[in-house]
Amino acid sequence: MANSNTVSVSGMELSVLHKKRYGLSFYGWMVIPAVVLLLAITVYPFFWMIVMSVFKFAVRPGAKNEFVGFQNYIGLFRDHLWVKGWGIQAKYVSICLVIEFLLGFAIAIFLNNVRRGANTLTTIFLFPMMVAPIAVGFLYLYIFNASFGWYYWFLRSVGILQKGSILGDLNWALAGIIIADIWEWTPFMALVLLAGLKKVPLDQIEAAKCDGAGSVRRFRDVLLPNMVPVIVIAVLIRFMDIMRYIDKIFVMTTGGPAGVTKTIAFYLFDVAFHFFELGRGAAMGFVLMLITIGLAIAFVNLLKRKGVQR
Amino acid sequence: MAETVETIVHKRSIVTKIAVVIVLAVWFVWTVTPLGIMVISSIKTEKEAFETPKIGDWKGVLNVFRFKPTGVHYKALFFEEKFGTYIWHGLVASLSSAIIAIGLGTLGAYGLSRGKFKQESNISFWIISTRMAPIVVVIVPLYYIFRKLGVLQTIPGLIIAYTTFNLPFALWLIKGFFDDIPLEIEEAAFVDGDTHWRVFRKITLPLATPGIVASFVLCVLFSWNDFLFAAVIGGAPAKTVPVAIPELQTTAYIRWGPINAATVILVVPMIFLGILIRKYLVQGLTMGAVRE
Amino acid sequence: MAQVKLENVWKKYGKVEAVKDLTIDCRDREFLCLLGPSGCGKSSTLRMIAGLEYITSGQIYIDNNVVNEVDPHRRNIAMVFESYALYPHKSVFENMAYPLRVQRFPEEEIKKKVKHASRILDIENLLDRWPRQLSGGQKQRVAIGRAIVRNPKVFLLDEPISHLDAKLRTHMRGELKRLHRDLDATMIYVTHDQLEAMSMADRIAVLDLGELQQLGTPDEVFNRPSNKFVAGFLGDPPMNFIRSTLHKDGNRLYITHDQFKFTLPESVSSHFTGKGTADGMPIDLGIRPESFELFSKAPAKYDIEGKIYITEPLGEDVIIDIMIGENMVKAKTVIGYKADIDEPIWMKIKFEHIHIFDGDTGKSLLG
Repeated sequence: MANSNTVSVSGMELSVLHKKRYGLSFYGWMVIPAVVLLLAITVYPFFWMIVMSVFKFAVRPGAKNEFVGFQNYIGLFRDHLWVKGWGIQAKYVSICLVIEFLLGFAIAIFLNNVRRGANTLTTIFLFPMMVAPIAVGFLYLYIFNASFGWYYWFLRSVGILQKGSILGDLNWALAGIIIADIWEWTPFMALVLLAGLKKVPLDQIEAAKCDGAGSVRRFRDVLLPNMVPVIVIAVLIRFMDIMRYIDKIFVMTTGGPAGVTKTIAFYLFDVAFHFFELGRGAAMGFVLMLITIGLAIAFVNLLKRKGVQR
Repeated sequence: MAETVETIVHKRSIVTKIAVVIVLAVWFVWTVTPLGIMVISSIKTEKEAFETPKIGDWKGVLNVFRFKPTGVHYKALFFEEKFGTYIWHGLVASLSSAIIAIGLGTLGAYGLSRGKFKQESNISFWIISTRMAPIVVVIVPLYYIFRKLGVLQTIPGLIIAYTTFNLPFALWLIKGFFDDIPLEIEEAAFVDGDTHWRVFRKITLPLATPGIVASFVLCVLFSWNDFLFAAVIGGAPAKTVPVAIPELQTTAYIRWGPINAATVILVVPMIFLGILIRKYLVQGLTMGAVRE
Repeated sequence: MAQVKLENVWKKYGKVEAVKDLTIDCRDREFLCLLGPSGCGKSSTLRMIAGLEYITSGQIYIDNNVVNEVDPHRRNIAMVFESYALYPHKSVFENMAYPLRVQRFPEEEIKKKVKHASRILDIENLLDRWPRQLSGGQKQRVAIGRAIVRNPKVFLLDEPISHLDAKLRTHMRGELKRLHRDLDATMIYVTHDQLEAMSMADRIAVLDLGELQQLGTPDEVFNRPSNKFVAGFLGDPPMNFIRSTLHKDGNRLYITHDQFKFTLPESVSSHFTGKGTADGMPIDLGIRPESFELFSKAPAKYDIEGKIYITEPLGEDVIIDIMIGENMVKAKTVIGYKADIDEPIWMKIKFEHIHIFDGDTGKSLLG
């Protein structure tokens, strides 16, 4: 099927020829089905979400929905559960990210120093990531149980916990969820940071050695700066994911006790699907999404400016 | 050229060696213990499972291994609770959604990779945004739309719901794999007179196959593990395993035996899949941003 | 500045012996070149001197102190890497200032030293740039600058100019030699380019497959190579080797080949070491391309007759490939010589410049 006039023509020129004949280059045709479906299932719901957010939804089916303009949005600021939820969300996200990052980095460094069996060890360390978030929730619900939970037994035996329960305790409930999150996701950080560590060019480290820098200095001046892009990606992806999932809270505490684990994402779920206030839920969702994307962009810009010239 | 940190062989002081072993051993125990407890508890009767030692009784830890293995919980799942059906639902929804996402995604990714579009950065931004949107956010409008369309509580509805996150993911990830294949290979074939489609099918596609398979597996993984979409949009007729597990809790009583068994069923296949695509795991989970 | 000594140094990677029983020394303020083909162990040796690789056995001394167990950052050495190894997140100024900052020099002195080094290397205008904005030659000079801002005991250079284009390399050879004089420093330089070694070094250590072949001045290794490898490695075009037979007849030695036969003059045979030479032993006759006199018409007396295979004009010189029976040799002569392919050609040998190597061991038979 080879045309004689396509000989000695590069791929790019060929696509221009294709364009002239069919009105769209070959690559354009390939993209169309995916993009159409993508728009249909993401853009369309997105706009619907904005539309829904200016309505008050009737709880009883059949009753009409009321257009209320920005009332859903304004009401958010007066909703003390909303405000409280942000506080809890901030605490949850920041503690998890910091600990997962530090632990993950440490594990990555230690794994990097293992000569034999590093691959097998790393693979085993990855298992928690494969576990469904809901399963993690049940797993920790089980081992945190005051009567028969092994984790509870361990914490009591070592003396960290005095009495009472973990998930039922006002002070410990969020900690329990954080512990479960650390178990589940630190391997992700470790894996990504390990990949980044292995990519640090050896000759720069050797040059630093010859320049007289000891190991701490080399870590600070050569290793870390070379790893900034990877660190950004790891933290960013973890951030996006931790804002997304509520499975663990749903199983372990359902927002309790007394709402101390009701993060903003969980509160949203509550409002939309327990109380069926879909309009308010859409408004909350829109704000949550804007803030998530905003924070992510701010984080990336902050690091770009702080000075790794890449 | 420049080697990476791992290739120089150095002696290590004994202290460093011991520290490394200790830290990694502790982490290993911390990682594996919950999984071990889950598996063991699933084959213990509930009475035996609940027999934890007294507080501070460290020797009693060995009791955990003294039990008679029983399959009673697994039996309960399949014969009393219809878990076979739920597993089936999960498989169908995951695989179907993955097939759609990978099918269209491969074509689209190839187009995005090789074609020069003015809209490319917009499409890219949109794809990343879908990863950033919290699930609860996406579910609200989807619920409403599906209710109106009448696909709520159906398997096809669930498949579409899964595709909302699988398709952008596949597009982004597979584009990365295509980007890694040098253009010169295709151009050599064009010079020989091949058409676009044949070059794609005979040359590029085979080279990208490992990456595409990895992407497929990851799509199945995310779909199989999903709880929220299945709970809100799937409902009872399209119940998957993650949704069925919370239902093993009644107001009076939590059936831990079946719950642990169900969790094992949920988790073990995914661990195998993870081992299978271990090579592409970093690239897959970071959306292609970091390669191992 | 210091002297460096290696005593019976071995480097093994598992079963692979990269460096075998190496004993060499670099005198204080000397420019020593480690020369050899890929895989000869020269880079491994340099890295052991730097402390970037552990020594399997043997001793390395810097200034009479054993440094086997000393970390690189405590050896007071400066190294210029083949890949330059600049810090991409630091400016050129910061790259060069880094070794001084590590040693906590005061800011004023750092500025002074960096400016001084950058002036020597003509990169003063680049101090504010970033490594990714520099060309290969500029990066290399920054790498050298980073090494010379301090006062190390030894400079170690690992093929620093091998990635530059030919013209720049030629230029840098002169610059580096000048730098050595100006800094009055001990330098150990690794390269596979014999031209670099010949033009810059005070002494050259020729290595092959981990073993030292010869250690000597450029004159010594070029004109009095100790074995066939050294003889063949130095010089471009390389020395011609013709398999022939050595005959002893009392005090007279003569060489036979199916295409020629001649007696060695007294000036050559007097240098004969004589050890292990037997009548009729196989030898490799070594003649450099410059050691032939060529005649297009048969002169009264000549040594070898051959046939022209091809000519390679090189501007001022021309290289003529000549078939002598089954052997091919290259001869260098001045342009203007009339040569046509397949024409016969007659050669006289400049006997003061020939070499004779044992046909089995490759060792030179001339003392």
